[in-house]
Amino acid sequence: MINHVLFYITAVLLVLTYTYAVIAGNPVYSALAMGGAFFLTSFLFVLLGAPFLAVVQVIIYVGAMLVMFLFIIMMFDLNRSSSAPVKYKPSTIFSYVLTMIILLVAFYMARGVVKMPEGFTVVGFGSAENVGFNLLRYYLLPFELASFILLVGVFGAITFIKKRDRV
Amino acid sequence: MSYQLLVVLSFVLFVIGMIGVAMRRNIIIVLISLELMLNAVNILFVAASKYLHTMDGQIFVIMVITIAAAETAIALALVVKIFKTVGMVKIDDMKKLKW
Amino acid sequence: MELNIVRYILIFPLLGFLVNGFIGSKLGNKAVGWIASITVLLSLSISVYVFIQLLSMPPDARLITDTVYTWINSGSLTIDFKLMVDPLTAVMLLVVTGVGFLIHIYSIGYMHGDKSYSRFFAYLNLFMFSMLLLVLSSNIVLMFVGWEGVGLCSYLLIGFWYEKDSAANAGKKAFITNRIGDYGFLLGLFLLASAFVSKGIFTLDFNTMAAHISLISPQVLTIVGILLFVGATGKSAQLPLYVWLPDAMEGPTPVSALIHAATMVTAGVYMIARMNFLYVLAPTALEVVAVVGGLTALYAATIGLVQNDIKRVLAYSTISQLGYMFMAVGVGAFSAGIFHLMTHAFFKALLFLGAGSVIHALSGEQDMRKMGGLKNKIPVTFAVFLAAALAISGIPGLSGFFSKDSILAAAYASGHTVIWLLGFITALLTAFYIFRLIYMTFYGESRVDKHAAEHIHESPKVMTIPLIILAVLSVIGGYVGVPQLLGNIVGWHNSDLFVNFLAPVFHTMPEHEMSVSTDSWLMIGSITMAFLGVFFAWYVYLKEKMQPAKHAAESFAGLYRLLLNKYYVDELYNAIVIKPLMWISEFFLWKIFDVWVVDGTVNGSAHVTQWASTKLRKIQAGDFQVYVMLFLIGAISVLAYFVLR
Repeated sequence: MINHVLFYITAVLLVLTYTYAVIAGNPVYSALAMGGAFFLTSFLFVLLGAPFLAVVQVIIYVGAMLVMFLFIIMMFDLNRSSSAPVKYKPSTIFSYVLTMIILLVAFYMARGVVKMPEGFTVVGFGSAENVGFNLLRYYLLPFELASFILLVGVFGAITFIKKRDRV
Repeated sequence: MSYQLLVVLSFVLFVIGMIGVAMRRNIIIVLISLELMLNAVNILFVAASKYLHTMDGQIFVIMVITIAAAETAIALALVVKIFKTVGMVKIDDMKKLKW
Repeated sequence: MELNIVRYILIFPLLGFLVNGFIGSKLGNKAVGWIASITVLLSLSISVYVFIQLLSMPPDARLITDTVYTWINSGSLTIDFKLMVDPLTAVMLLVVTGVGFLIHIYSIGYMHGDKSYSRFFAYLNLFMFSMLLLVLSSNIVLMFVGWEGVGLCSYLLIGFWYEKDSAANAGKKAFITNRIGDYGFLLGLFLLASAFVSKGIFTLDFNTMAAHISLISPQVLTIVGILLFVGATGKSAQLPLYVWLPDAMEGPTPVSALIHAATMVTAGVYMIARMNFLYVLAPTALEVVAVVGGLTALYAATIGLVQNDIKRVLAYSTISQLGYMFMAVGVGAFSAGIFHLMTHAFFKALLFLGAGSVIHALSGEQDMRKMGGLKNKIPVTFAVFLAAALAISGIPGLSGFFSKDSILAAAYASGHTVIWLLGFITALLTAFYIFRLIYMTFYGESRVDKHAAEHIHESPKVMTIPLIILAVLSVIGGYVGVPQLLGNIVGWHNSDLFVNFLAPVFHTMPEHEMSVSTDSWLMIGSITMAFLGVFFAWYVYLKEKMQPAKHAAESFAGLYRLLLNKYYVDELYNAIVIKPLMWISEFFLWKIFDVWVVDGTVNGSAHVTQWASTKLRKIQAGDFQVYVMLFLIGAISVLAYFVLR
């Protein structure tokens, strides 16, 4: 029961932080709201039986990505509020309409209540050991590929930033 | 806590992120919205993982996080480069490449 | 028995090809030549080892296989990359690698100083690989790969000196003519495959096919047999697809010896011998083979009588001798055909290499009218050439005698009297033209250009030693198959080792009994023919110094011109096939189809694209949010399709 209450609270807070992150005028506030959303997600992961992912979520998203965003915003002084009024172009209005459609579709697809299994059927489900075992046992190739993509990402970022003699 | 509810939550969050991508003109906020969209998908994966009793969803989340990290690094590098070259970060001003 | 070493027979020449082909130009000519030769020597050694293994097995179970991997697995049809050595393969293996090795060594000397030295040896090794694949393959599909491979190498090597127009054209001619034959081969292959698959046999392995051949109706077998033989006429230069072989003499002489005398052109004979289980049940197809073989033998020999280019005489001689082999397999004497294939490989390779040595000595002169009197100037070449000429003429005691006699005997015994007669006359002509060649080249007074005469020299050891080895083989090679008739005289039972060795492979035709006296008379007849031929050649070209030949040419001018111009077959083909084809290509395919349809389509699509893009580019205004919107519309559409369908 307590799980249910916690879940609803988390869900509501998630929607709120998401909304604020998207509508905030100042990028710093937006980034901070994103950090909050990541914390809440990590809490949700704990509720859903993924403790290891919860930890990873906090470490990577909040610890690395959020800091990176803030760093860039501060470094280049990008935190000026966009004072210019948001233009409501036809495209913007259209995206709202699309949103409504998507929501309708989502409810249509999810109709009929599906109960989550109560309690953990496997001891240690979602633990670091469990994740690691699966990752290295059944997903070794994707795992290696992902690491390779990270490497490429690093190279790419460096190449972009590097000062060249001629542009 | 039903699976359906989690799906709907994930969808709602995803759409909020999408609206951000579509509407905002500040490139940083567009990127933040993009991260939020990915995060919404992660929630769906974890929910499915629990629902189906399999670790596959969680493993996939790890992959998504990896890709998101790489993507953020590249994107921010681009932002820095654009800022250094053009001096602004408004998306709808960047039409120089159009032919 | 499974023996994994067999695959190395293939691997070594392939390795040589890769090394010489990719880094050959950096290795230096000496290394290239020796690498190429040693890879073939290794193949030869393994072949000998496999042969010995084969001999140690009981005669009826002589079969060594080597499954490398499953090559094609399509539906229920399974085709393995599987190699097989049975007595027939073993003979071919030894001939191909043995003669091939000697020719590689010879080429080291002959090609000395050529600027594309490494390319030559790379092609030569690739040829060895393809030929060995053809011989070793255990199913007809894999065999076809080798079959095409040797065709490709033949093309590459004929056109080796591609700067020469005639060489490039000869290469193309060979390739295209072979393609025509291969088309027949492919049709036969498909027909055979579908026939077997429809009977529930899902593999094209030779041994499996042989075991189940009786399931297929004789009509289908006859058609398959004739179609496969069409392929053989292309590859082995039989009527009517022989025209490429004389032109193929544009290639370097070792190539003529290796590909166009000893190995590749015999592939057709090998194929028919390999498919003997099929041909035995398709007598009509065999009849066609025999008739075509007999006609080709006589036909090519008559052209050979009047040619003046030393290599062309040998080329027509090759066609004629191949006709003999087809004659043999056509009358059901498969082992006689293979026997002649082997001895022919020895003496014809030797003749070509000897001719190469003569050409080498005369700084590239090929016209026999500008030779003569070379006997004492290049004695080694002369000696080996004489041995080969005696062998091919069928002089008793040398290899050609035994094989040719067994073919003629088999033809007569099987009741094909007309075909026997064709072969019998050809025997006379063979002896005549080959000794005409000898007398014109080595005897009489020298007609050599002054310029070339100063440089006449015997070839280096690296060339003469292979010649001597081949000469020895040409002389003694026949004693593995001494006819029982002669064996009885000296009290040697089972003297026909060759036939006995091959016997398990061949599905025998009904035996024809022939009395000892008939057999003896036949033998005496062919011996007489051989000596008569030599005598006529001696009389015309040495004693009377070509005067009778000139008289004959004058009094039978029409016939002479007909022969000299090779019966105008090239001109005929040119008029009925090539010209119309060119005309259609030019006036329909080019000026109508290409210009209007092909170009029209290409230009039209370009115009449409351009028009559409000028309209569409307005959407692509660089507005990020418009892009996102379009992207969303696309994503929603996909989603909507899956939800609502």
